[in-house]
Amino acid sequence: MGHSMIYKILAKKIGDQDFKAGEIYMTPADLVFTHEVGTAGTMRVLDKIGATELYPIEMVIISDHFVPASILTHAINQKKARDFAKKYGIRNYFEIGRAGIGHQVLIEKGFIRPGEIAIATDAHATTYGALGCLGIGVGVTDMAVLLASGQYWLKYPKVLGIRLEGKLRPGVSAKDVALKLLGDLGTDNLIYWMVEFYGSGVSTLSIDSRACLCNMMSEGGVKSCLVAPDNLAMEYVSARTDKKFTPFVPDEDAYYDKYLTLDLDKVEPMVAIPDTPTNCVPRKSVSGVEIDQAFIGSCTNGRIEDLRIAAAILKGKKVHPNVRLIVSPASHEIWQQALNEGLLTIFNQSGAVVTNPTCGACIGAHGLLAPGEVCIATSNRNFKGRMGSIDAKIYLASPETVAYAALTGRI
Amino acid sequence: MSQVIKKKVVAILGDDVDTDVIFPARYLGTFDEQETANHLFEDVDPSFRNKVKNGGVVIVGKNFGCGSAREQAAMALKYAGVTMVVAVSYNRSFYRNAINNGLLLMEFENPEDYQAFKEDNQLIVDYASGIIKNETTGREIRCLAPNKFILDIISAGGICQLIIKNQSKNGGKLCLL
Repeated sequence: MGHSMIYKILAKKIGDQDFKAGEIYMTPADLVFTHEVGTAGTMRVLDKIGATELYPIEMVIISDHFVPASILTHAINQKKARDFAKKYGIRNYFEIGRAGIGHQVLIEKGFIRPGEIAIATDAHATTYGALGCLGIGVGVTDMAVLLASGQYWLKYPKVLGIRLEGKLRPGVSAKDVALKLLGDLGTDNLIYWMVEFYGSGVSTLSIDSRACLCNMMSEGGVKSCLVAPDNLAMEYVSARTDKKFTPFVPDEDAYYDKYLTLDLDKVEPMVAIPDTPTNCVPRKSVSGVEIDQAFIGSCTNGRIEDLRIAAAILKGKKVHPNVRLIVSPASHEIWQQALNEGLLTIFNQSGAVVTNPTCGACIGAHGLLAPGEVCIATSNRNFKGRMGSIDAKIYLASPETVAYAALTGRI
Repeated sequence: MSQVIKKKVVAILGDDVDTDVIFPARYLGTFDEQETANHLFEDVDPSFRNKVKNGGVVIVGKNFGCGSAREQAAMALKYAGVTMVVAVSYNRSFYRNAINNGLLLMEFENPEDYQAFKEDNQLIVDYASGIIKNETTGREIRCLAPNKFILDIISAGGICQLIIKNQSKNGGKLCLL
């Protein structure tokens, strides 16, 4: 039988062998990314193990979680990230105002390349699968050990192959696909699994959509996601990097531990209801729920495609009087593009708050919910207390669903 | 790692306990061991820290530690005193972070065995072979036995200790093997 993408990527990195699910393999990484929290934590562990120099791996450091710093702890961590970059001569350190949310910045600046392994101190590293790059989210100890030794212990996962067919209908987006899969499969079928997407439906999805899909699948507890890179992905990456890379697509007869076919035409708008992202239902079954806040942004849905969809709905209209709308473009490149296209003016005139690119409202760094309030967000998690009070409720949906809810005051 | 652990069940939690409730995001800036423990379950059950301060086993449902890859969730449990967590399943990043920090994790072979425990049950646990004897009820529960490399990490007390220990056989270099 043929091979999956993760098999091929690992075979290239550590030698072709009979990879077995559950077994542990030591792997290298092509790229590592740490945000300010991860950098500060990683430094602490590097000190603990007495590492004085870093293994030569391309590294990117971006402060994105709590920017600009609102409390002293965050300011101190951001200083640590800056100091770390200076101490080790990390050229790819991006100061606030010059990058945005790390996952999006890595993609748009050409750091994410097909066939490579990128490891980050953040669970949403799965996003890199949009370009056929194996993205793995880790804690700070894993990161420090990788930076000190050049090695990462990888438990080979079971692999789920999902054949995408057809094309999404108007008003349905990649977020709905992710919520549909999370709801149908649940964490029981996804924890520690690798998910690979291939088939004719892939080429109907933009890179932004693929990034959203891979990002959101993280919430099922997957090891990672990969989308088979096509011409669109190759052109996207080639326009952004001079570095050579080897893309991998699955063989026609690739072995998967489980196979699934998803007809994109049949996906309908979905919503994750409180308090887990895998608690997904069709939008129509929760229509009418009143909201206090709407949020459009995050590493899941703060891309230009998302902002265009939301702005088209909000153009010339006002956000419902009982609702606050927060819009956070995912990167400064997107922020500038949204400005050039007049999208920020539309948001501003509709009564929305447009913030700087940051994880912000998604992680409860600002835009907090008071007890009893209800929010609908394009972000990725609706756990209790995620966006403020543990007595607030969070619904997750696509930019289209959230924009309509902001206008009408209800889902 | 052959020693047997004798501890009581100090808490039983349900499914999908996420890292936001284990360790709220507003404290993400801190990595001080004791400080992480101070915020364990702060928003949902501040009394939890008292229950585990003298050690003990926490029994949990499926997908424990889901959500963020924040390492402080595993650190907070360990430094608050938790000896071991036994789960139906773990979220992968929590699983890795806990092992790397030397926190003992076990996983039921049969998910229904989650029901076989009550608070204060006295347990005798053989981690390396994956067997838990519930002395209070007399039942023996099987868990998945840890992989050899994971056993090496746990025996060393965490991955940092392992990599330091391995230095001598690798000419002073920091290596996982």
